[in-house]
Amino acid sequence: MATTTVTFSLRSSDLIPSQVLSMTTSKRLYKAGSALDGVNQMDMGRVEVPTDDYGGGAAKAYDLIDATALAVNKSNYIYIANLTTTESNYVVVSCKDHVIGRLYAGDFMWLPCNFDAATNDIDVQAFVGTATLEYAVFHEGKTLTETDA
Amino acid sequence: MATTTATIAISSSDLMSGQIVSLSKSNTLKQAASKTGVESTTGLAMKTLESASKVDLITYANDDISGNAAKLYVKNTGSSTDQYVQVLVNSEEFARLYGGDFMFIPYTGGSGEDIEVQPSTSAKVTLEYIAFY
Repeated sequence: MATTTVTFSLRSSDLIPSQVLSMTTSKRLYKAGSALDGVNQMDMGRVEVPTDDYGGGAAKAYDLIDATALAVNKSNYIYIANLTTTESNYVVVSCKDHVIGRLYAGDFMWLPCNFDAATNDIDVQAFVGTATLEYAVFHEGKTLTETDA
Repeated sequence: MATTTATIAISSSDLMSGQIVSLSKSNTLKQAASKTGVESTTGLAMKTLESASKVDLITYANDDISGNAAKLYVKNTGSSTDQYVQVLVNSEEFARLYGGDFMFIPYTGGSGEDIEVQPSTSAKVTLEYIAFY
């Protein structure tokens, strides 16, 4: 059983007048419904997301995290960071055609996701310029879905 | 200009054979397409749920979260491994928080794109949340 821990903090000394913001939380990553059995698999990578579908047309959304391969109703802890440095460039992150939000240059997100349906992939769509994303998924079971042609 | 910083660190010494996992990133939260930091927040809030009904956590039309670069933090402060809270946008689940789980996401919002939460059981559960924009 692997032990994987995420720690997250938010800090600001001047966003709220008279109140320093200082929050920290930590969580060990478990399989769904368990407090003993940690997630035991991970995928990690770096990808480029084009804005113009390689010159072939309008910007498209691409599957970054495939729900089918990672299995429905299992733990999937998703980390995505936009490594782009141009502040006007952004990536729209969506799930099942619903926009979650925009990751501008330097932004990151953390999403515990159990995929309630195999079609609920996490999609990304770059705007303004090609985006470089770094991502990692900590999960409990990946099933290969494509056979050798 | 306020400076608000989010930091994440993910670590494991035994998830991968022969490779320690140590991933970290820190980011100053900025306004859309800008070097200027976020200047508004909902403030840290808590919502306790005692039914398995779906309710709004963030109602886009009422909560005045705007700017296209908002960030949202939500934590399930419980400890249950049986009960979870679904997080939905426009009734579509995109996150599931078991006890102790948290999420930190960008939030764009829009008409009808509210952030909703729905516990899996009627047992009492408390969510902690804050948005920056």
